[in-house]
Amino acid sequence: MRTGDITPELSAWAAELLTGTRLLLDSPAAQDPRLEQLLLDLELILAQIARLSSTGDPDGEAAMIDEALENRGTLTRIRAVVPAGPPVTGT
Amino acid sequence: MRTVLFVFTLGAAIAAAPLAGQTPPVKSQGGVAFGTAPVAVARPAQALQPAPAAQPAPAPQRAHAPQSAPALHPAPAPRAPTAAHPAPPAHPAPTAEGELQVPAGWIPEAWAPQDPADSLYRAAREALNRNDYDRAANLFAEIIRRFPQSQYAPDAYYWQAFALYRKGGAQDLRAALDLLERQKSLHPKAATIAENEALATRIRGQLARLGDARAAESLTKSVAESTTACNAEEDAVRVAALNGLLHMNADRAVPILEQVLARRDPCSAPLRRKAVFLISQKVTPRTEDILLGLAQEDPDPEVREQAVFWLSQVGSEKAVDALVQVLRTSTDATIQEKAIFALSQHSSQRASAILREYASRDGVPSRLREHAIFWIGQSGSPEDARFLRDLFSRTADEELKKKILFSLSQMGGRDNERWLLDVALDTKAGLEIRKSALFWASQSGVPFEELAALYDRMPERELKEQLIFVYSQRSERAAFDKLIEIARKDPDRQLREKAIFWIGQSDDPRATEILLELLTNG
Repeated sequence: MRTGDITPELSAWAAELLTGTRLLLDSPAAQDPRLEQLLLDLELILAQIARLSSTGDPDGEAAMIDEALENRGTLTRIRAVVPAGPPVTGT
Repeated sequence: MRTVLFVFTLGAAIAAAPLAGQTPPVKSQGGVAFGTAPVAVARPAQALQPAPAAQPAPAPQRAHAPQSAPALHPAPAPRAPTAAHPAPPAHPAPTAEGELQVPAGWIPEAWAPQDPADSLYRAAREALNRNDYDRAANLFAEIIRRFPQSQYAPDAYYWQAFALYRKGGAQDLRAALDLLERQKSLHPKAATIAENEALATRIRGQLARLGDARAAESLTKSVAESTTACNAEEDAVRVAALNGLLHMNADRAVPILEQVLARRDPCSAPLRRKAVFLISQKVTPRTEDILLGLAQEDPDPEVREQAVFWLSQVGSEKAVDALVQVLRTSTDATIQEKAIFALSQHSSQRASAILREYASRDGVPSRLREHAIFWIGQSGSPEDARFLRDLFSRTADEELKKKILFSLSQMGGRDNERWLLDVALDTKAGLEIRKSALFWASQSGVPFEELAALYDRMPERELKEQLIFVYSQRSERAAFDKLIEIARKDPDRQLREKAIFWIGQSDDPRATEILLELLTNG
């Protein structure tokens, strides 16, 4: 991740996703232990991204997040959860 | 860059995660709605027809279903930076206290080597990321205690609170709340301050569920504090409060959610998107009416789409009625598509019958009929297969016919395979339809011998070309053999050339040798 990627917009988006993640954590979706753990990991990562743009050391923080993603295999687990299929359209 | 990519991936993951344990029945692999984005996860077979055109053509790909998923997330809304990081503090002189308890062999990367708490902070964050909450909480506490002037101290309050919140016991949760209060008063400009209140509200929600009356009261007050300000942080707090209240006292939460959903201002759209999700989580006698009203009237497209999606997850006949109403009255094709999908996900026979009736109806847009045909095809039921075959014979619309061919190939089964071959052999059908039928018959798994036998039975060159293409897409050795045979022996030069082209595109190890042979022998 480059410093230029770390913008207030990215943090704001992460904050919104964080809110949504917490709603899912309280929904029946989280009754699946595998999904629950993934959501918990996402909650922590999003909480970290959400404050990236206002931290004094965004590069250091970003490196920490990357490391956490690597160590916990988060991306792989996301891909395992997301079925192959159409790209999701955004607005 | 990686984080940005991750966030995109994350959005997709959140939207498409399986809905295990969802209270309302999900007919198939339903999608998860996630705050901003319920996304329908199509049933397993999802394919986008590559045009079964004459070759050369791209290799067919199993690909996408018609997109039925509501939008995932709104574009990031600009939010003003909320808190400046505190100015670097004056650092205490390094002392023996600065010795850190870090894992053996681990060398921390220095972020701010001048700060004596740097390595401790990194070790604490690493522990948190390993879900080692006890250790993380202790290390953050140590930063606060030993290095109160460190630049890491302001955020250490938040992260210690986060670690305690994850531990989840009542005592830990209360301690976490206390830390967040202290952070607010001592470090109002901490980088994490923007998330402080949302986490605190979530913690109060958890405490309320554990029977903490004070937390419940605080939560109720938070919900009652109505605001019309456009403020993402306030929205996050309000959503957390509503979520907490919903799980504690749904009777009180639902009317408040209705009030939120009754708003129509653009500013409250992000809040309403979350509120739709929440209202769908507690089905009441009014749920369908609320969702229908939103689907028809909310000015925000995403709210409307989510409302339709959640109607599909309410397994009542009243929800079917609401979806029918959306389908009939909406002038928004996207919403109508969502309604079609929603009906396909409903478990009732009536919903299936409505979908079939819609697919049959002349006078409605072809695109919507195609959409209905696609989702009917995803059901896999023999009744739906019969319906589609019958509809094929009744409709003159070539695009609809092609969609039916595709849908039946997706359903699979011997009956459908034979039917597809019959269409391919039907001389009364148009060439394009026959070519399409050939392609989808092959894709549905018709035994290769049956496809091979067609080559001599079809005199039309265009169909032979299509067959050559179809053979090239099969993985069996016999299919490659057939291409070689055509390349060597077919009296039609153009057909030989087509076969040679596809041999050249093949990964078969014999391809080079065959091409050399053909080159040598002319």
